[in-house]
Amino acid sequence: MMASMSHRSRPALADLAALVVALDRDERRPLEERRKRDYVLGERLQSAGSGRLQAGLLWMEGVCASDPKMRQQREQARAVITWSNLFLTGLGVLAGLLAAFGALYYDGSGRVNVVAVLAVLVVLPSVFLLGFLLAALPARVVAWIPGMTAVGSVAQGVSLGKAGLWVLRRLPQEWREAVCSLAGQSAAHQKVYSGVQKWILLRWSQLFAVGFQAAALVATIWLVVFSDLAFGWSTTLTSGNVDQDARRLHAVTASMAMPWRWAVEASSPSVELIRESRYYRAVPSAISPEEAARLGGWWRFLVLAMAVYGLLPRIVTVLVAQHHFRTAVVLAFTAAPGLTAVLARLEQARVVGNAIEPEAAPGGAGDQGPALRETTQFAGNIPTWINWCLVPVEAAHLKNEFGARVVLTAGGGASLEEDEAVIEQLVAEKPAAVGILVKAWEPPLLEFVDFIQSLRRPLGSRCEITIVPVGVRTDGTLEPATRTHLEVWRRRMLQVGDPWLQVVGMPEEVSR
Amino acid sequence: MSEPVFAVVGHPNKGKSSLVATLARDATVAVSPEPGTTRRARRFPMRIDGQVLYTLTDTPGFQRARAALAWMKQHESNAASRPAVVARFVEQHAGEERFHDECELLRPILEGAGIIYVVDGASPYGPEYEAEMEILRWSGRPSMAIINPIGQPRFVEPWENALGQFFRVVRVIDVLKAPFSAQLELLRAFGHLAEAWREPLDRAATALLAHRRRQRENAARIIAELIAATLACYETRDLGPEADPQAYAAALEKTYRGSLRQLEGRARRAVEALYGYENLDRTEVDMELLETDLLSEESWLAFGLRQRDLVAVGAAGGAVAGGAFDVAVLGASFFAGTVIGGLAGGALGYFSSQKLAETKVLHQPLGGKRLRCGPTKNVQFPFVLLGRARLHHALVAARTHAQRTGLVVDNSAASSTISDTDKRRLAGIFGQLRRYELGSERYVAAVNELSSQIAHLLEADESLSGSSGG
Repeated sequence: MMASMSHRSRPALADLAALVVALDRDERRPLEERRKRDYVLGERLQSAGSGRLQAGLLWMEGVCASDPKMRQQREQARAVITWSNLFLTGLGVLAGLLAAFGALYYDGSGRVNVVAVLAVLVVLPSVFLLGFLLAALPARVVAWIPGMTAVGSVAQGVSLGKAGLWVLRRLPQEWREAVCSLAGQSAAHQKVYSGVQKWILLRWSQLFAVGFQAAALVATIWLVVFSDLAFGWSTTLTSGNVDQDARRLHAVTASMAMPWRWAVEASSPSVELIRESRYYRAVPSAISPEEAARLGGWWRFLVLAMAVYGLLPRIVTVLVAQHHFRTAVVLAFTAAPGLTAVLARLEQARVVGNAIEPEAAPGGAGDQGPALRETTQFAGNIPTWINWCLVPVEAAHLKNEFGARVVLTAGGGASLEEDEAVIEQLVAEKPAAVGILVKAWEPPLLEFVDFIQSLRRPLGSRCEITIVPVGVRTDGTLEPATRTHLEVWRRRMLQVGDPWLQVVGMPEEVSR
Repeated sequence: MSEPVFAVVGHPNKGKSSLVATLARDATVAVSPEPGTTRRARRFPMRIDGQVLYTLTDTPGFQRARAALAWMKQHESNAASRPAVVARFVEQHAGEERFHDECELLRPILEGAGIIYVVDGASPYGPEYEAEMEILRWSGRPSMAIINPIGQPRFVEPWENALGQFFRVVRVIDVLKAPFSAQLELLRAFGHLAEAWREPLDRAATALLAHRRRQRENAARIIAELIAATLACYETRDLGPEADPQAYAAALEKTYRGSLRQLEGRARRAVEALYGYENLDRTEVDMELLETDLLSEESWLAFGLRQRDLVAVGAAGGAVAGGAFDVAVLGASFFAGTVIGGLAGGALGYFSSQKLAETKVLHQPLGGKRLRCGPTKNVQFPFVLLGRARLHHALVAARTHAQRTGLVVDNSAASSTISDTDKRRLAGIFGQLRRYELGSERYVAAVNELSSQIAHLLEADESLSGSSGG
């Protein structure tokens, strides 16, 4: 499936319908789900960056490949669209056969009027051809011709191409809506798909016309070959001179035969044949077998006129309509609302840096811990202090502002043995309370918790330990910790579960 | 050869996860001021076009570095044995809660990862970092230090002095605000840590640059489609022949503004999703319409016909009939038949359209008034829309995935830095979008051209902000 899709270069109508359905379904799908799917598709379709059309096609193929129901429905849409083409052509064939057998009806009692045959099988289709040409005009030209918009509306309203929509009823509801929106039956997408709407109907109408002309031609040849037709002509508009009338008609038929005169001998009926084939209802005359044989000589002219003026232009118009239809489908495909977002997701899939492992649930040190108590400021007078990790402050400042008599240092660059020595020294002093100055900007590490716990055991459970996180200005003076830092410290220390352990902020006056 | 792996290590809360979120473009990485948010090493392989070019590993911070180093020192015999001692440490303490974080962060390094050591340049240097830096040095792996100022970069110099003694390469980068160019430069610097890593990292940087260009082009396309859609956007309301249009004017204008807002909002979300920001909390002031006279009134008839169509068809029909009369009298009427027939046909069309409007089928009138709001004709409107979209794009493109705050688009600061040449060119395209038939080849070509012009403007915006990387 994936291999075959890489050969596609142009979308068909069924592909466009599939795209419309897929984009429409995407609108109802959660964004995360779309993203995940397109990441997978994007990784599989690494050539997605090769152009908007190609990338869109590849994406749509990818969606169909990953969704069997979607793929099946697209095939169904493709079949139905093919059937609608065949239906319109078949309808044309039927109409062509009826028209040809009607126009060439001959029961041997009179003659087949050549003028009537030409009118039904050549002139009338040519008038309808004019309708096609008007409808095919670009909208900007139509807008400048007064009344053309109305003519266009009426022409579209009665277009034989609309018969194709009848076949589309066989599609599932969602797809029918998509195809109908492309064919102009839904107002919501009318503007985006206006090009497709116009050419889908014109193409269908031309398929009908080709069927009509081809069937009429075949029927005429059939009647010429397998039955005897005696052609004639008749008119009231006469010059009064039989020869002159014949010469006038000959001039007309000779002009009509110009396109094939170079290739076909006896390209148009002779003046004699024209004169002989004129008939008057007022002068009934029996036809001899020789006469009947001569009057059949019109057939070559008739067949060639139908082929050149009826069938050939329709083959051209169906090819023109087909070309414009394909172009319109490509344009609509690349301009489909939502495609840009899809292509952006495919592009995202080309560069993916997401984690392999899922994010671990917060735990251990990352726990939010118990509810935060209101932060209090240091107000007491603690004689014994530990400067943890060498907060950059003078010992004299600590003595003056915090009432420190003893200042010890631990943590940071000190070894674990040196930390133990500090604990031993404190135990020897048996203080009632210990203050620990810490860097507020550094988060409390487990090795600090280890130190607190090592300190608590020899000091006893009633010795109050006060932790004061502080900040440092660029000039080296202390400043109060930010509330965020204080909260971090308090939450972490609450997890230690020591009722005689507290975290307090530094008062403003101390910082000055 | 396996792809290069980089372990992002350091003290807790110094921006390791932010660096990973920025470089991996993954907004789901947990970034928190709470220490110990990252408990397990997480790998972020950078897959470009299906191939992994490098992997970043986010790790927990050191918790007991001094104790770990003490153990290593006890087991060290000489400098040559140090990498093996580090390996033995991890081997012996694997599964122990005491050294869980150290083992988690050292394991990828022992498996061959390069070391990216992150510190905060807004906080003073302290001796408590030396134990962990020493352990990293003992591992013997290629390493680099990144000074990430989380705030004012007041202490960068002392950090540079200290880190220079432990790491061969030291870089300063604010990972939260790092422009795209700085991110690419950092990646290339990673590649310089080992000869074998240079090629894949250069390739990754080149691919990311190309990816960035495509993102910009896609964003330009989204903006172009937004402008095209808003220039074509209008709302109508069909009223009966007797209804007062003014009674419906305010509601219709509100609907119209709502439609424009919806179009702009959808485009904003698409641009954000393009850069990997889904569900971004955005604050933006609504767009002004710059125009008060948006309402117009016309008549409507059933079957999509307009009054002027019926008048034109009537006049043409009358003229043809009158012309036949002129021919019949061999021109003796001096075309009076054509003129009179045309006038009579036109009048008939006019009155019949009014009659048709008053006719009711199943209690529904076949015609009446059509109140229409929009599309805006203001020449400045698309420029304002573009200016807003450019500002939004610039903010989104400059954003990193480490940022967790909402996006504030201050449109009062929106600049309209468009050269006169570009302005003329854009005005021409806006005119085409207003004139051309929607969905036509020329219309699609105009949208493509607009998209291309906007891509140039977005590129210039990014070059100014230094986030283009080019």
